[in-house]
Amino acid sequence: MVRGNKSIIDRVAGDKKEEPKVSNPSSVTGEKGSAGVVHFWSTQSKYSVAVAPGKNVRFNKHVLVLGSSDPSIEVVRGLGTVDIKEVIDVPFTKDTDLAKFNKFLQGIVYSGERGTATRRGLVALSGLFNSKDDISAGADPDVLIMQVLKRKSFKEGI
Amino acid sequence: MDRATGTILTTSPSALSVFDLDNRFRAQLWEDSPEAVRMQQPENDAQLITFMNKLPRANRDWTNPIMRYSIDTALESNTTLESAYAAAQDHVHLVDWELVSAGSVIYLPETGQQMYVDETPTDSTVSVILTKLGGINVAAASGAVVTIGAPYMGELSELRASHTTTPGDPQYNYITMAGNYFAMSKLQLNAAMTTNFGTITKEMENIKFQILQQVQASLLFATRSTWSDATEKQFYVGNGLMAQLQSNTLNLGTLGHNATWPNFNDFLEPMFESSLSAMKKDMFCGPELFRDLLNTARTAGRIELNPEGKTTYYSPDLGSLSYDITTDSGHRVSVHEEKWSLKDLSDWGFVLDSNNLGAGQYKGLGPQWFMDLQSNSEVMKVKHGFFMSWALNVFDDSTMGIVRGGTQTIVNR
Repeated sequence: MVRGNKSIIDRVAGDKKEEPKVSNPSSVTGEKGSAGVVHFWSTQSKYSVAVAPGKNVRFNKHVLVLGSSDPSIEVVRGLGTVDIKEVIDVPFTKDTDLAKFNKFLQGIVYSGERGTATRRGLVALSGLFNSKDDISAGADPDVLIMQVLKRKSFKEGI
Repeated sequence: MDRATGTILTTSPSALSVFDLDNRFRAQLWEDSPEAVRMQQPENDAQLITFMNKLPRANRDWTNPIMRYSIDTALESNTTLESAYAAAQDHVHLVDWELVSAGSVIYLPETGQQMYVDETPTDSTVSVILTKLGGINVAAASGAVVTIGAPYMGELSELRASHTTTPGDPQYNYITMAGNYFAMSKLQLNAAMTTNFGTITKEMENIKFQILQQVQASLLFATRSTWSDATEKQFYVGNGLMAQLQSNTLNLGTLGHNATWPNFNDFLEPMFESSLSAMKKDMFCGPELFRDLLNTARTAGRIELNPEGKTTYYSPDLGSLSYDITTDSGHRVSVHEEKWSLKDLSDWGFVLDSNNLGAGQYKGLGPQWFMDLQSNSEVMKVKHGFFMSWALNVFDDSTMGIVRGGTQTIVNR
């Protein structure tokens, strides 16, 4: 769902910003990108991981942020699933990795019919940023992809 | 004639063996009769296709290989703080900032704070006035609940601006076509067979079950694609369930100790929130997840007993072993064992909602046989083919999900 508070228009960008959540909010100790947190990202919007008997952590809009001392981190890392990536604020350095990462991001964003950008894709892409990145929600999809390429990478590689 | 000396026996490995099928001297012994082949399963039942054919929106005829559909939801009236709020701060950061406009009222119920929105925001930073409404002013944590109140008006106020929604991305899917054939020599066709192996009836069954099983695998795992081939022209491949169910996945890991009832319940409950959700879900599980969930639900007392007082029952509709569970809030899920497509993914499960699935085929190209496809020169052959087209569309994907993981078998046979 997209909101329009002035007139009923069809917009591509500008969906709601991300808010990381887990089923146990106390495990969130800070914002995305701030020190002492681990930023996970999933290709799926609401991926749940059973981290302990009776406790799931859930990605919200592709994002899960956990405090660095949270024991759930090792459980999530230990899954080794391709659906979950750990985002770090360091870009890839090799051209081959950047090329692969670019292709991966293009696939996420331009998933609409005839290769158009989708709102779902942009929501997923925005999950790679944190609040300190100061990214405009209405930015051009290609610009957003460039911003990701310049700033982010996956800890497990691409 | 060859001569042989020594003790007369027929079990020497270097000579005649009773175990040789072509031993001419000892008659072959069969426990029953050679044609009595004990079939472990008469067919690999494609439960998902059976389920698909029983959907409220089943067997629809489409006339275009591409179809589109949209899902939207009701206007919301609450959101959360995107970042922490410090006391006396003249602005807040809202996750869903488009909910408010100039003159809106914000409540932070957890702290008792209320704020008056100064101007219509253009991003997540929302300017607020604290003095107009009065009350307490304290800090609030990131993630705190924000509720939007009524837009108050004064004696000469004008009406306040509001917001609306437009549907999300239109979804689309393709209709997939597939088929295969077999050929049989006319000598074989006319041969008298002691069993049904090698008969035209058996081969027709084989090819039909084969393609139904393969189509079921595509229904689960296909990823949407289209391409043009130089000779075969345009291909359309529709999305399967896994590609369409991108909202809810529960990963239980591989040890199984996290596969407890609260973990399952926490995953299942939100799938019933949408008003588009059916009252009951159907969950197709591989054998290991089927057993895990049965034991877990039984321990938690969340399993429904059938009239005979048993937990599991044979579902004649789907041809599966099944049981019913209820979530903590009373929502019902029928769990079915899927032994074939999920045989090697036995800790996987798909939670499906019959109200949010649409199935059908290209008009005139449903499951059907094409007979006598041999060319004129193939005078010694008969060739028959089985063909079908299909699409399985997921409408509200928040009502369905995928479970992966749980216990693994101790011994891998």
